[in-house]
Amino acid sequence: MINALASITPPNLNCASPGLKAYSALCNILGALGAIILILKLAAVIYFIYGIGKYVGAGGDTAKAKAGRSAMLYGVIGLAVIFGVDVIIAYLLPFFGITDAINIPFI
Amino acid sequence: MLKKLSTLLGSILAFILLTVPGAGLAGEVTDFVEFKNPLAWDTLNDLVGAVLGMLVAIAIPVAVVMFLLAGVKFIRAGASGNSGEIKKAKMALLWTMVGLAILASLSGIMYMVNEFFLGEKQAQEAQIQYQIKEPIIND
Repeated sequence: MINALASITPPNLNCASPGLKAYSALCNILGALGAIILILKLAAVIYFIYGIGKYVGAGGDTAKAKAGRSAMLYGVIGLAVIFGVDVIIAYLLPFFGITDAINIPFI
Repeated sequence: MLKKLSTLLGSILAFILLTVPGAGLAGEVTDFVEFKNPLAWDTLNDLVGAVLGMLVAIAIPVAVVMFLLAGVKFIRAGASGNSGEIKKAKMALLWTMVGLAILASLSGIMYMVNEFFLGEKQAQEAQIQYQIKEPIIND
């Protein structure tokens, strides 16, 4: 499980590519961050669903509904930010001449 | 006044003695002391590129971590419902984006500096290559 998590690198980062070979330390750090990113992504999704449950389960209680709404709203904002990390990595690396290491299917 | 003048003359003499080859010597200089570059980089540009490469290798993961922390702050602020914390999370995200913008424009800034000091043609030739070479010490 831990090995599987450690082997995950963010947006299909190819450490063996010529562009990233010079940055072996960078690739190792990003690879180690990959597991944390995955855990945070899962946590954000779970928290968003928990916020929906809180909102729906509030019933007629206005204060509870407000708390649930806040949890849902900022849960989805946080979710978007955390999922945006992949894009940040893919956006930053080409500025430093690393163009062949990233492979994001939807960009 | 006289003291100042003598200082000036002395420094001009010292400058001539130090810079003009053979100015202070009777014979020709035959025994040169060879200075070997102890670094793996030959030009200042290469050295700056190497240092920047190392800094970039640190800065990119830091930017990623700060971005993740901003997302976590948003979620925690939403859980607490505190408007002050929401503002803090927004600020964290804003300044992370500012840092990312500076990081992204790094090579452009370096090009501008080179263009100012060296001119356009040389700046294009000297475009910084971020690269991490092994810091081998020449023997």
